[in-house]
Amino acid sequence: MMAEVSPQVWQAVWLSLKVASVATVCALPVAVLVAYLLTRVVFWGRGLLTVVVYLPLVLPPVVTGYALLLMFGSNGYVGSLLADLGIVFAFRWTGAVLAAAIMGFPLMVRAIQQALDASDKGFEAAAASLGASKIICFLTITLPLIAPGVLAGAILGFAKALGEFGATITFVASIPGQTQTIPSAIYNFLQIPNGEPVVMWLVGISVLLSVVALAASELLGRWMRKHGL
Amino acid sequence: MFDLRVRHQFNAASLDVHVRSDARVLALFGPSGAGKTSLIKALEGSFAPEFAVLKAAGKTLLDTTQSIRVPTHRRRLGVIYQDARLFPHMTVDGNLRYAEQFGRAKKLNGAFEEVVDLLGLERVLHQRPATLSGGEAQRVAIGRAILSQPRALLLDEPLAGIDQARREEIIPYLLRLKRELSLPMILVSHDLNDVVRLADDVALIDEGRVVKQGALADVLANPELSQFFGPSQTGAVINGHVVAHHPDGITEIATSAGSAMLAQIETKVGADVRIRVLAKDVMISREKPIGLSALNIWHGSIVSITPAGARGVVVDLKCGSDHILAFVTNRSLQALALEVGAACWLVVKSLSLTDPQIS
Repeated sequence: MMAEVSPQVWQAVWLSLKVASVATVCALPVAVLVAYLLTRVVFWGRGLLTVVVYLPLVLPPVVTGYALLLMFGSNGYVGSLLADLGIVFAFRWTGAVLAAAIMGFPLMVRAIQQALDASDKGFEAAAASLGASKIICFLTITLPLIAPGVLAGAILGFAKALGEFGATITFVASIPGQTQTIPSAIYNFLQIPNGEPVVMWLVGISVLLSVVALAASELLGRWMRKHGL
Repeated sequence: MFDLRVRHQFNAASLDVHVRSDARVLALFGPSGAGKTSLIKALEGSFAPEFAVLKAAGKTLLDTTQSIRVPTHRRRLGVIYQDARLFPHMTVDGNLRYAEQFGRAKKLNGAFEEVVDLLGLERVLHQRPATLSGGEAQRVAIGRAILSQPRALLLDEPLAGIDQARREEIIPYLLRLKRELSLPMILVSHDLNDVVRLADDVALIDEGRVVKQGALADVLANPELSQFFGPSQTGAVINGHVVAHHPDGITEIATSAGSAMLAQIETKVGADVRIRVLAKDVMISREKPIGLSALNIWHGSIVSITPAGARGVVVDLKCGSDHILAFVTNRSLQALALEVGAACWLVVKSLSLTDPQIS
């Protein structure tokens, strides 16, 4: 059985993990910042920011992918600027990261926002009265208190990134070893005759990855509760 | 130490107060919703009134007329909230150290060990806040505030969520604080007992206005405020010192009104104490009473007679240099022919001692 596994399977799995990890790590700090802005700071344009953040959640993924192509493609407004700096997204694994990050972003923000809404602002007031500035207070009080929410956001974002298909295939296509993640590989092998065994492998690995991610989040959550978070 | 002026128009109510005090402990007393908390929030920095000039311990923290607005974290006011607000992700020790790092530069009010000792926190240092009793949590909150080296302490109803028995886990510590630290405090309370035990000055606040303010003894001995305090709480506070503990279980306290006898207390001979004489516990007699079991019979003269409700009056008597209030029914007022200037005897049915005080 093992001998039958195409190297493309492992390529896709490895790439998916790489893309999802990098996307989560890059998007998470921004998601925390945006969630904090949306829940704790009153500023002009808050409604607009909310719309922009949540748009990828409701737009058809293909539309999001096409928008990314327009903006970050080699001829896009941002893409051509970044290309001068040597940063290329189009048809690269970095493009898959961008697509995955943008698609997972609203899920992360929402989980963190919920944690911020639920956390008692009284602790922040208490920290301020002791002499903690806004930034110190955020790092030492707010962030530890919402850590379970941040973790939940990270898991959701990671899972979304692993499963992201529409925006990724529209933006960076499905190039084996470059941009072919598990979902696009599954789609590819479904299109070719006798592709099913490979598809079954990919599906099995997908399920396994999801179970591991859930178990890891559960264990981490328990550890946090045990340590008073 | 405090000079607080705030004006603000809320939707349905308005706040317009000017509170001043140079005492060690100032109490803001009044019913819930009177505006005490808004005043504290303005001072703390979580509420921006339309007009405010707030000075605490010589420092202007907010002056809307001159656009002075010290940010919350630089106001250095140690706030003790009703709900303690200990950081749940840190131990008691962690909470105290957290505050200590902000106060480190200025060691004014005792180092870590002293504060732990002062508040009796040694035993709970390694516990999580969730495992503490209400009284313990509040003591940790007080210790945390002190370690941040504040210029003043704001106690916002610190005892409101705690039952009477548990209060004894806190009030003696607050009195110790008052004795041992030179830290001005504001106590917000709607419980007169707490105010009497802790405060030196009091500002009565009702419906967004200051009804009366001044030294605690003066305000409580003001017969015109009996409506405000109500029939069960009206009563003067007098100062005295412990003279002797008699072998029959009675402690004798010297006051300007005369000797006060009460059931034996622990306080050392010579210590200053505060005694509360409730108006409902004082009887008046024109003749010197003989053959009464009451131990405290003092002599005084009537300073004023103020109507209080439909059936009675509040009589203000001067005994020595102290004022004592007594509730008298209209019927007794007629029967005894009480009038201003009349000399009479006071029979005090019961006395409640507050706590040892430092004057």
